[in-house]
Amino acid sequence: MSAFEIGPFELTEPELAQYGRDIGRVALEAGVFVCLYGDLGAGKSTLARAACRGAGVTGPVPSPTFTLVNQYQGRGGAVVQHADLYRVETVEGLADMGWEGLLQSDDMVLVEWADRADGYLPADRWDVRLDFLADPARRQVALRACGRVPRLPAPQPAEEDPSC
Amino acid sequence: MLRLALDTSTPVGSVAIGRDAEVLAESLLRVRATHSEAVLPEIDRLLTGCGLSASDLQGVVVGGGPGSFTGVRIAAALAKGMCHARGLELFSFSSLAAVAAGAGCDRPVCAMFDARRGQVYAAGYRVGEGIEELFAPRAGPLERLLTDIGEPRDWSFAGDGAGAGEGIIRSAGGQVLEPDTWVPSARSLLWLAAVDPDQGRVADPGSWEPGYVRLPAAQRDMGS
Repeated sequence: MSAFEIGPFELTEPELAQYGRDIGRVALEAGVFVCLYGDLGAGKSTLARAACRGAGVTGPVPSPTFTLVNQYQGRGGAVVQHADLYRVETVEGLADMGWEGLLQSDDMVLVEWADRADGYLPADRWDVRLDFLADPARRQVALRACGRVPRLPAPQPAEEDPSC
Repeated sequence: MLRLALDTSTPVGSVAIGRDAEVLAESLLRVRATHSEAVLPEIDRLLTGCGLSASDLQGVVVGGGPGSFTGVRIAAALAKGMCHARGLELFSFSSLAAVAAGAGCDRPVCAMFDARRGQVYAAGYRVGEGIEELFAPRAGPLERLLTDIGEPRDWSFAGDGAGAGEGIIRSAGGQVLEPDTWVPSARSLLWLAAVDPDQGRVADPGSWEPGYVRLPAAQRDMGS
């Protein structure tokens, strides 16, 4: 599998949110499948919410922990799918939550706790891994583009945006 | 043995009734979304058309995936339910083996389903008087598969995955079989159960599960 890696970067929360918006902007265009990895509190939801904003989602972006998948409308009417696999423990659970529909769609897809779908992830995707650092105000972000997907954007200097 | 065969692992579902390898009736059903509602009435229609009823059946042959999660589960649940309710024998073969068995090709056949977003499910077979598995069902990017099977020009490729990757397969020297061979047909399942019943026989239908194919560990992810 061809993979193109960038990072790791060390980002503050505003920088992470800004980067999430950049990721969302590119992901929406090409309908990229974005897998998010990292422990509780590592910033997956922050990044996912920011990516939704970058994709043009204007309404609320609630956590899909209990709904498993939320769908939003992004820029130009394109659909953004936001999944959380935290509560998914088996391949049957994966099938039941509509995993296949996510794989078969051409939509932008954000998957939190993507490691729960280990072995069932698509070949064409972005992997985004978030980790804690000794500095609690920062997170480490490492990324990988797998298969036929657009290049990942690199983080830009942060701008303040109160919406995220 | 009078058997019902069914496969709903791809967008074209297939149902057949047969006595050993002899096909009495067969039907193809387009559109995945309607598999769950369409399959049972179709079974009923085929049985009626043959002057038979469900109580005449002695066995069920199911295409056990890989393929659409939902589709694979529809056929599996139906097959298990019928075997449980009527005490029928259950037989299962890979849906990819069903494609290879129906390909009518004396070269090695690589059967492939399109798993979307860059991935295929694939398995290799040689079909003669019986069927020999050359490599077991697996998932992965098409390019990797073509590298792994050695010499693509020795193989013929079938299935909707071969259709989706036709350009890549041809440029690697592989031959893509005609689209009419791409469906995992229920008649091929009947043939497989007739020529190799022992390979397909499921000892305990209650605990049997269809084959969801995972990626090998080496191809997995930064999250694991």
